[in-house]
Amino acid sequence: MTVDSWILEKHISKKALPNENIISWAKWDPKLSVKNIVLKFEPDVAIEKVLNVAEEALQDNDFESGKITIEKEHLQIPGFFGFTGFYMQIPENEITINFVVEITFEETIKKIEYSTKIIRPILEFQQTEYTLTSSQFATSMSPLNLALVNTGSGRPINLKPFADLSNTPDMDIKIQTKIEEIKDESLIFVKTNKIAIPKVVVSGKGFGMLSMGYEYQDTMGNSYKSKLANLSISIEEKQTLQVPITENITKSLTPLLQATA
Amino acid sequence: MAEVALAGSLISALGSSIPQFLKKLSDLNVTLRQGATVFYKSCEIEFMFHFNLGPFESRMDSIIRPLQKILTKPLEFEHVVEIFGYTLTGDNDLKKLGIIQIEKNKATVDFGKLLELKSDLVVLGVRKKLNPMIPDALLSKHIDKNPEHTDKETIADIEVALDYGNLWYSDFDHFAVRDIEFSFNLEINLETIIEQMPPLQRKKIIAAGKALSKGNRDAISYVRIFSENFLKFQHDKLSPDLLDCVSVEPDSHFKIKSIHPKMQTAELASVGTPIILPG
Repeated sequence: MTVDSWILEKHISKKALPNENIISWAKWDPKLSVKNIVLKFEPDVAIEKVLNVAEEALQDNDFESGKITIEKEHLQIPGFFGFTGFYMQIPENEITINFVVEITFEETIKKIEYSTKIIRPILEFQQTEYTLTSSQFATSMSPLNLALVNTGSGRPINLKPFADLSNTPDMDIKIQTKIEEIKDESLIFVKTNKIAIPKVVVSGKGFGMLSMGYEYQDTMGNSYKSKLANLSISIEEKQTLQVPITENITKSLTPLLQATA
Repeated sequence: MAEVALAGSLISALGSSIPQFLKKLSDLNVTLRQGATVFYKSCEIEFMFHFNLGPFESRMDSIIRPLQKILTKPLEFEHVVEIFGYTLTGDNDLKKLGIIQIEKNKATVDFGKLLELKSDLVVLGVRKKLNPMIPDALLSKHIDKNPEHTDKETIADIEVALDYGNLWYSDFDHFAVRDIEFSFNLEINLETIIEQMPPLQRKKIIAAGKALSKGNRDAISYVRIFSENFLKFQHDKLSPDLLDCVSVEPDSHFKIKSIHPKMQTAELASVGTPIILPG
């Protein structure tokens, strides 16, 4: 990071999940006389704590305005300013949020600009249209492989399938899931994810449509829904099919170090 | 609430009469070095005072007489976890000399006697419990909730920033925070570990792991050693101690729950040095 010569040090969390803490600070020569400091931040950012400033000095600021002003006399020590905060919304895509700290010195105004990437897991089906016909499953009930890809930087956990069903009068479509916690016998060798194993049960004949997606979380506990995949079902003769579904997720099964506090 | 907990100076945690006494010493040109260490996990603060009392011969007029009104009785320290003191020359233990006396969690220091010690330099250390809100108010900490993974490494950023610099900056020549704790679960790709294990020791490691999973007391040792080595084990060779205890089974992952590594010491110092810990 290149730092302007008057700044001794500047830091901000380079990435954060929604609602995850972002910490930032800057240091400059304490001999430089400061008149005031203005922190500007984007909508949907909550500033939790302003470092080096007494809490009562912040009471006159409207934190929802996206701007906090600190007068010189409220700085606890010279040459330092920082803050902690978090992004309050769940963005559709990964975004970059910006912060600006404007420091008014005796004769000049200097700016420190920071940015943090708000990351999230983004699960998408590699293929969004699937077809299921009775002839496909005449001989064996091979699992229907709904391949997922994670295009985000966040790690998805706790996947659960959900479905919107469009049944025809002659056809009954259900989705059954079994939650399994994958666990080894010993206490320390434990896999983390609870995995919901879905199975489509189709009875009757005719045409039907199943729209299916996944609910999932990130490691902060934020909840997401994937986009839907459509499953067209066509059964010529009245019968019952039980079709297991497997999901392959790329970019997610990585070694994990997961903060718990 | 944090503001309430932090009202006044950190040094006032020692008791109302101590800051006044220390100020008086300072006014009398007793060179005093003050240090404090906050123990984050246990919510304790340890004060260290280095008194430079000057030559014994001149002390009566320059220090003892002006302090006589205050020194009529020993100074009391309440809710003390630990207290100790010694002279730098002669290495005299102030407890053995009867200058420090302890009764349950209350301690007294007889400064009248302390000032009569022949040594120029005297050290006094007092460790006390802190209001539990203070360490959290002093320090903002964060561990990356979404660490980055490469084939060989798992990288989680840890950030620590100290606040209320005015409290410790003015009172102390040296300030440190110890035992900042971050908690996380660790799930490791076994291939990463197995690659680093000497083939001849694999059997032993697996046997130790089986014993561990059956409640063998090695479990305690395992967690301790792994905690102590976790930061470097992905970079360096596993330590022999770790190899004695760790166990792996041929599966894709294993997970160790709730490791609590500690940042041993975060050193801070006075004017001219950084006040913020490296991220």
